[in-house]
Amino acid sequence: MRLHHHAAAVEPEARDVPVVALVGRPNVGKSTLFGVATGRFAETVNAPGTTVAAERRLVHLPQGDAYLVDLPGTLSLEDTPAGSEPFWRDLLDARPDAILIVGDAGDLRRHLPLALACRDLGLPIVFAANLADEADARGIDIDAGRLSQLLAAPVHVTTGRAGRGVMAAVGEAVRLARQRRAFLNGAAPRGTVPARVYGPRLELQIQNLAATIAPAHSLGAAALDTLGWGLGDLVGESAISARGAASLRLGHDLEQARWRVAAAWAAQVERCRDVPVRLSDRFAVWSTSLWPGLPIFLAVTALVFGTMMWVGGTLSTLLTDAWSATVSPVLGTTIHAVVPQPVLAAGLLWGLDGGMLALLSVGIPYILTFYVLLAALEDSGYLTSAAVLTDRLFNTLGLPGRAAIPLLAASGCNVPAIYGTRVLPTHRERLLGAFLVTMTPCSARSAVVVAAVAPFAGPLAAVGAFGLIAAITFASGLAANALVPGRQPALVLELAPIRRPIARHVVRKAWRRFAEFVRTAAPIMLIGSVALGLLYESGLIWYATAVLDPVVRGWLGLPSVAGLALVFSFLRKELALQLLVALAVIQLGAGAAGLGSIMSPAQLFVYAIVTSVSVPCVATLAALRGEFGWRSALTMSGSTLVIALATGGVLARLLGTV
Amino acid sequence: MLEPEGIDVGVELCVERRLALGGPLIVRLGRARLAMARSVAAGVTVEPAVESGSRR
Repeated sequence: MRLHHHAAAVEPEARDVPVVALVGRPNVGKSTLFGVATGRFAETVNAPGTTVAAERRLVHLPQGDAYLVDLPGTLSLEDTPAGSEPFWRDLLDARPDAILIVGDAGDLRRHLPLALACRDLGLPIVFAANLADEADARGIDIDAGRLSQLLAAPVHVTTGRAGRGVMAAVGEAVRLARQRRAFLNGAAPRGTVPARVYGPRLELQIQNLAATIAPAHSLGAAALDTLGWGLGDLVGESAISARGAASLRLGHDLEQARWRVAAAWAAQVERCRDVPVRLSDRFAVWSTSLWPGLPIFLAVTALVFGTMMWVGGTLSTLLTDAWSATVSPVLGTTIHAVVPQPVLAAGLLWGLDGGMLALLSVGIPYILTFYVLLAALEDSGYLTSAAVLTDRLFNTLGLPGRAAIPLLAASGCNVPAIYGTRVLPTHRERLLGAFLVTMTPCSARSAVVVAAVAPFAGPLAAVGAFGLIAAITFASGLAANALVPGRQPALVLELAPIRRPIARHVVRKAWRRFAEFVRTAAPIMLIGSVALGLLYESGLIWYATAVLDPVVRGWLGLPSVAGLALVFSFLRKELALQLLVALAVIQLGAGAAGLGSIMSPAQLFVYAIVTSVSVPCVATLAALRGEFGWRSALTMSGSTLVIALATGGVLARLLGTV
Repeated sequence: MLEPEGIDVGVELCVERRLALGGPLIVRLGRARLAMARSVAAGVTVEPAVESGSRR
């Protein structure tokens, strides 16, 4: 959500409510602090750059009501964390009356430059020295009083994850925001005036430039605004001071000076004690080296995959068994009683019963389990370590190392992996990641490959099939990287500290994402199931064999019935084999009761490859649509179909089935 | 690209690790750890610290 022009859209009574903006470097705990202050969960990740849009909530405090705005983490006011616009535009679009700067109490040297930049704008600021518990564990204490003197602003020591000091810091910011709002409405001015800290030369430069930035309501201001930055407007609307406007124009020149001042101030206010190095800090170092980082990475991924398969599989069996035993019979009886038309009734039953079974067998068990695991990994900070370790490998596909997480998850189920691509920082990387996810064999597709190939062509052929799928996926990734416009930015990533995940954060985050999945994917799964059911029950599906024959028989060298099974596998990939046998029995008679009687080993190999690589299932398509829109979802799915058919056709000729 | 991370003229840093096969460098900058692609690191000129015992 961009905040441009939001002031105009705000309801009239909201205009009188002051606004406090939360500003800080990435991964400093702004969203956690925001969640504590507003009393509602805000999604957080222990990795830089995870808040990509602003969120605005009304808070009621003893100091009065105020809007809190959580903005994306930024390295400086000129940084572009949410796209092409500099951060200061997003900040000022929120029309803040005060800024609550969230910094790391254990690393003030890196966090004070942003506080200085905000202070230069001429708005009241409060500095929250957050992550105080971690600073303490590292043997760092800060003299908040001295820092407050230097900044000429209130300083509060906070621990967002435990909620300590948060309300005091937010309350102070709200108080200052209300004071400023009262001043703008005609009360006596009580704002803070920034101390001059940059030395005579720079201060004179700021002063001279400030004198040339005329408020927009003054005569000729528009003519003076030759850069088109709109700074005169902002000064005229009292959004910032003239000095603040000048500091934005001199942003780059001032940045070096801010870092110098920050280093000097940090040295004054930090007190260091000798403490033993924490295990989590040791682990952070280990996890970014080949040894023991690589075994740790493999163990973590195996743990994620194994847990997802075991918990997901168990839940899947329990839920589907319970549904089939209790709801399915009642649903069948009710629908047939209510809907007199048999074809329509059967079609509806496909949708409601089959669709819900699909949701219960895939959606709830695997996706919810994966979300819990992903949330725990995000909260732990391990994702940035994994990203660094696998960066080089994934760079060849135009992806950063952290793409390893969703891609590994995709081998369990593609759907949560599509949502898991949110850990990737840019839209291009998310698109490329999601495309590779759709080509990664999920557990259902892997089962099809094993069951179709191993018994008839031998285990080595099954291994070869997986190798071929991996090669196709890699080649497709290379092609997509070349075809999708844009370039992968070179890696510069601050490594997140390793922390113990907090259970309530993990559960809330997983539940929030899961609810979003159910909202977006469930309707499509149910409607798709009804449509396929109606086609099947009305017999129209059999006409499809004639349409599909040129491709299925002519190009892939497979029997006609295989085309129908491929169509149905769109509903659930694991149905590809069961349905193939069932449809073959219906079409060809009882003699076609086994896969071996329908197709040769070579044909089964081709069928397995095409099933595995081609169009993802309806749940994956729904997830793709939810995340990227119909156009991208259909483009990706269409591409996989083309790749699958091309590969299948070539294989058919190589194996002599055509 | 590096200025907002605090890497500027005169800053002391320490290369903690170079990952194999052209992987990124891990750099310590004060209390922070940064991963940096080699293409980015190639643009940074460094010289040994003057003060003995200081981190590089």
